Amino acid sequence: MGIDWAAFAVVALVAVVAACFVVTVYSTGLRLLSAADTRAGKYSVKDDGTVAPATAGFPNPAGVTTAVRGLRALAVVCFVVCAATVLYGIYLIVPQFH
Amino acid sequence: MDITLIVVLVIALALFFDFTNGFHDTANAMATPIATGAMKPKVAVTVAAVLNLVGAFLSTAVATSISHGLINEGPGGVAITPEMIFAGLIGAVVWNMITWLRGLPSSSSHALFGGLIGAAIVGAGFQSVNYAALMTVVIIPAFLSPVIAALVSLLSTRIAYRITRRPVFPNERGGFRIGQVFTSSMVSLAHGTNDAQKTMGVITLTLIASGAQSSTQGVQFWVVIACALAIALGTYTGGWRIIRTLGSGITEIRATQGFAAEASTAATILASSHLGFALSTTQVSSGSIIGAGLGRRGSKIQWSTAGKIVIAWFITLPASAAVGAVASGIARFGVIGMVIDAVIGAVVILGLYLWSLRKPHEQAIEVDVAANAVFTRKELRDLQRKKRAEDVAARRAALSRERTLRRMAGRKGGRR
Repeated sequence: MGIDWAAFAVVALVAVVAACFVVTVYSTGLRLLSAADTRAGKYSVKDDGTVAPATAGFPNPAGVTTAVRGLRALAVVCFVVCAATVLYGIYLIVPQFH
Repeated sequence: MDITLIVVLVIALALFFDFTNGFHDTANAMATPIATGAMKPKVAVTVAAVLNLVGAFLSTAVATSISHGLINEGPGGVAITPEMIFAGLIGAVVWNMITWLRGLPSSSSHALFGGLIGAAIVGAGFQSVNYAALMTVVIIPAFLSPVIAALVSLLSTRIAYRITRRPVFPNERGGFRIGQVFTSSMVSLAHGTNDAQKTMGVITLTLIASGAQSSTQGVQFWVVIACALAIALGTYTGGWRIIRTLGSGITEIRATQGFAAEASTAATILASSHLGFALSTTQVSSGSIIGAGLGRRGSKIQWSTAGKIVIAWFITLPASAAVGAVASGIARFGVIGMVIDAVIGAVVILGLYLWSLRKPHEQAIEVDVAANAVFTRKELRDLQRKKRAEDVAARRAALSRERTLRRMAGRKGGRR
């Protein structure tokens, strides 16, 4: 019953690292996108801290500042990294590429 | 004797096994996006079918041994005859149909191994099975797969919720739905490359054994096409009962959890198939869904459902072995026996199918039929809204009754 524990440990480690990496990057992208939208004035904050949809029209061109653009660009970078990971996964799946 | 009839029967049955494999495993990839409303059910199964078809064409490197060393093949061992393959396939197909009827996700490869083992024991005796390999290929991975998948999925669900938690502003967790489409597609593609190959191997080995093809030749093109179409058709048909079990029977899945779960499934399967420690797709994806359920605070896991699924995993091998053994025993009577086998098998399969039509309400496991229905997010919201409205109405009625009572008590002469 020679089970290959070393191989199992490698599989477990790689799976944890890969899954956590993709999830982290994608979540960060979503968070950045949300932050950008908020800064661009998608929501209005009342005094008691509750949040409601913006009173002014959204998207509001005046709200798109450099910071908003920067956040959006970062979010796009995150999604591109995710896409690259997915492509690498497809590369692994397809044996003809090896 | 009539070798061509045997070959035709084996090929037909192998393709049917491929079909059941397809609809059994649609749920692995597509249960969570359907449950969260990321994809409409019909769209999801279509995507899965196309990716399975593509996957089947991509990978045609067939293993030299269909049983992965479970049966002592080759020099010094037993020869796997087409009769044994036939009996093994009957065991696998019948068990696949039974688990589908019960809505249980079980491993199709284990069913195939089980059928072959049963057939080999009857056909060639107990020494034909390599029990050490049985331990390392089937039993230990069955313990490890769900545990590792649950762990990976638990971690990534926690991370996803942690990063997108609400600081001040609402955030768009709905964006995970788009991510889900991609992660689920990855699982589907990986499934197509792995599973269609199994049937191609069975058919090719049968052709070689019957002398219709030389052993140096690879897989013939018509075999590839037939297997790819069979698995894609099976996937498109969709094992709705199993989708229901995985999508909402174990736990109520949300987009964030679904994304994390499928990402973990894809990562675990890819890691296992490229680093050489084989894990079952079905068990990995069930484990991931349990892990995702554990990862979100406040989500409940139906442990009774999860328990039934685990029991089904452990019964799969012996049960399909038993069916395979019986079929193999009948097949010993030669061609007549195989025809009897085929007829009995067809009757049983048809019977199971008809039974499934007759009892549409007892679909999936009868844990909680209401909880097992796949609700989209919108339907769930509507239900909750309705419930809240009812609560408010009930509270209002109670208040007004109380007020009336108080008024009555305040009247002169007290309450009458």
